[in-house]
Amino acid sequence: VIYVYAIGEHAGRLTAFVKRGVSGPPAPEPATLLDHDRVVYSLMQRCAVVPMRFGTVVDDEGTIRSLLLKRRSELKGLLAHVRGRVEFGVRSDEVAAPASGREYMSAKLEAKRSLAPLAELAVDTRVRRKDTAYLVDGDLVGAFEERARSMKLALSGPWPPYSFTGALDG
Amino acid sequence: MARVPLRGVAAVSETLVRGREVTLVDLVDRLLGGGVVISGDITLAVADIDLVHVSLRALVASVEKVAGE
Repeated sequence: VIYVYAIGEHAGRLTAFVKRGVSGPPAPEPATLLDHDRVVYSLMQRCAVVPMRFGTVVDDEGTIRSLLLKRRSELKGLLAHVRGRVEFGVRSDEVAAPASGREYMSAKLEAKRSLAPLAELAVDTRVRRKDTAYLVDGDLVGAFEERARSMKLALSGPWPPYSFTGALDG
Repeated sequence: MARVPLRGVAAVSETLVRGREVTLVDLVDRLLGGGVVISGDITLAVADIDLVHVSLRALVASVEKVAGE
């Protein structure tokens, strides 16, 4: 089968970046996860990429070609959104067992308010399960990191835009 | 997609990728929870779209060389 790392644009054309001849989906272990990340990150330095979910394999080239063809406009839209941008993450503080729904909501709101100065330097934001992801223009990476430092926030990244993709229903 | 149990991840609390703040916890969270998901049957004929097989090994190596210079 064929392992699919990412979809990108290579020489102006939609392109799948793949590894041929794998025996199946890799087990999610540190080495395989790091391999996926390293490859996608390397690709990102060459062209806009939309990462695939870790472990995506297809049976043959026809399948991936069909996907590119059928989802061309969505993929182009995703690529346009992430082009020249990288993802950073900020871990969320655990909201310790809130006494009430109201308390929970106010903690959430407060967290959002406190991160607003970061969000305004980002073009897109995703609140994830354990952290908040920011999509940041390449030109603003320095300013973003500086602001995070001044806010005493620990950033993770830069990442390929893992959190700014969606599902492509066949 | 079936959930695959993680193996060996808990043992490694933190892994640094050169030049990036990348912990394994964040990596796992992103790789297993992010990225494009393909679902459903894909049944379209092959058409005029490129499937470029970049030599990933060579690509990664060259990027690292550039980064290390």
